[in-house]
Amino acid sequence: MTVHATSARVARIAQGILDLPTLPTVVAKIVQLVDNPRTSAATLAQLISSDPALTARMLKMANSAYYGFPRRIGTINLAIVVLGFNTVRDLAISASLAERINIDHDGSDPMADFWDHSVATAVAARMLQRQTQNRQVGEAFVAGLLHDIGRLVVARYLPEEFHRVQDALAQSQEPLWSVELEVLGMGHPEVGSTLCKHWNLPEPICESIHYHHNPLGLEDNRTLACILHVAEYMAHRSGRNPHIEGRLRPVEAGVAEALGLRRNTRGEPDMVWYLERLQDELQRAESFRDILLGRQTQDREEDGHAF
Amino acid sequence: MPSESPGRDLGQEFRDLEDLVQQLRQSLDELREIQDLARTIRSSVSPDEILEGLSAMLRHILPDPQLGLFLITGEEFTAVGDPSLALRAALHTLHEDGITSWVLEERRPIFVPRLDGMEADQSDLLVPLIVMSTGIGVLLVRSRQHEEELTSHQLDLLSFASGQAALALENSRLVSVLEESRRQLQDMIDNAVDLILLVDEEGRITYANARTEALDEPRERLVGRCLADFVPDPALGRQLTEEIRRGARSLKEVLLRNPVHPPERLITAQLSFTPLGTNYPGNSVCMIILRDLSEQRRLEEQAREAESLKAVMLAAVTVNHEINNPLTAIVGNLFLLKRELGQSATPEMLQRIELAERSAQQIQDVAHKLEQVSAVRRVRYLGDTDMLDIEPHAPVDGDLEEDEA
Repeated sequence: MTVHATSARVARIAQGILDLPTLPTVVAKIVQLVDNPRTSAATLAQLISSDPALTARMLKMANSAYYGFPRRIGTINLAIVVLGFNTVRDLAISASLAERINIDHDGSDPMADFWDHSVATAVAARMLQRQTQNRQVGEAFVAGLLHDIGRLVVARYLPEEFHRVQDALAQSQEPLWSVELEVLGMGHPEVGSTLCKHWNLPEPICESIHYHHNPLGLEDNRTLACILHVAEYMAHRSGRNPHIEGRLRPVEAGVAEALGLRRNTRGEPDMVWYLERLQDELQRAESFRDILLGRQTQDREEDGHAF
Repeated sequence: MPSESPGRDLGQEFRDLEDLVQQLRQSLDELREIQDLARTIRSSVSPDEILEGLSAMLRHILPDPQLGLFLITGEEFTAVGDPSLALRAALHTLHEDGITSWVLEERRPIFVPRLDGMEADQSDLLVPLIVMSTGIGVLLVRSRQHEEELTSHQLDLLSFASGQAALALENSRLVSVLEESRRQLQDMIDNAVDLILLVDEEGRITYANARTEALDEPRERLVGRCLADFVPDPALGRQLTEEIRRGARSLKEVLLRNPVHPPERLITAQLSFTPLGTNYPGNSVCMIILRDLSEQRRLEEQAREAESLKAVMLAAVTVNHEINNPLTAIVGNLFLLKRELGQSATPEMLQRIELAERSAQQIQDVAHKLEQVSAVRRVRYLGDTDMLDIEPHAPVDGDLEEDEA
């Protein structure tokens, strides 16, 4: 591929991203408000409550077993002061995205497992961030949820490129991002990061998505990208996707070291320990994922915790 | 995000920027004050001081805060200081409801749903205390902060304050643990079997444990004296001081005595030298463990003597058996010879027979004395050669017969 052809493709993809719809106004404003540490719970709650559908969905997710708060969370205000500002922002982004980007789950859609993988990565990222004592728990979840959004963008809005990548991928044992670079001149991490910037998401989220396959390529503030890198590996390992497993590469030693992951007796990152914990978290997150994806769910209403 | 409108009022933008600068200044001042307080908390090792520092810090974050600091002890929480009964009761309810466990797992502060009996304008915040991934307790803050007015900035400050307090409390706990370990170690050293000394480079004693019987001096009078003073041989004393300066591990057996006591009070001591690192109190450079071997050496000598005596007794039995029989024949035949000769015996003949009889009697006496030997004593025989002293002696202290009796 010539340099000229590559840059033309990249420009076309970038333009394609900029033409994509932005986040719903209310969600964009939530992101903006949460970014300001002086925003009060009341201001944020007032904004969210202006969208009753979003409010209802968020409350349903907030009361799911995943967050496991021992009492019922009946108002957005309580959700903010109990679950935290970042978690509420995550809920808003999650609820609005899953609603807008529907996927057919009948198996014919090559992106059928997209949200399952994204939620698993988000859950793993949040778990890792807690395990590694990092304060940006909320950012880890939303970054995990959106880490592969670039794949979805290519699949939905650049179908021709998507098929070319799929064909090349079938002929290769290289990881997806490497094949994308070869075919499109731009990998899904960069596409996703560009979209997140277009949506005015906080810079750490955009940057970590850009570098989630190469976190050590970041000069500073690598933690979130490292978390995404390990979280995605764990999500793949727990998802048992045969197409991915063959291409799955072990967690880089430098990344494990940067996060201070616990080690096994052989001195390697103790992924078995982390994966066992992830299984528990994923089990608790099942109802959250089902609400998010609009699937039939057994949530707290059946446990007598009606809204 | 909607782009800025080109016609936007520049004056408004300027005022917004001024507000922002004002806010940043305010935040900076606030942070400075909080950091000063955090330093105070970090340097405290007493839980009461930590609690006081934390209260001062929280007054910068929340209006009119009352706080309860509770540490996890097993399955329960133990209060630090004396929180109000209302706070204790609130914590109990939160613990029963599983909210404390939830907060410790979430690792961030939350507003807790209102509890019965709270004043209308009061609210409770529950803050986890985490050290190295482990929850060590919770901080329950009741204040007049309206929950709707809470900001994430306040939550961040609360996390920071609780983090500082958790670290200080953990330090305080570690200091207590260290103090207890130090006390136990001191106890072990004081009650050790051997005398343990620390000495400086000149061999001057800087510390002695309580086992000073070997040097027959109370510990307070040992400190400040030189170890070499206790060595009767000045050359050996200098050698010991050199050994200390050399800074290597070694083991030596020496004779020591307290210079103020009579010269015969010598002790055999084993000294083990262990060099110390730097910064030991009193410029100590070496630890010496002094083991009094006098008793051990005496017992060894006794065992050796018993072994020799056993050999002598064996020899006595052999002598009795192998000498007494032919000797009886000699004595008997001399008697018969004297009777047979009768009047015909010349005086020379009788003299020779009596000499033979006395010599036989002497041999019998020696064999008898050999049987009676109770301690191995040597007498000089010829030149450097010793022989066994078989003459009977009055028993003295420490003789084997007496020990055996």
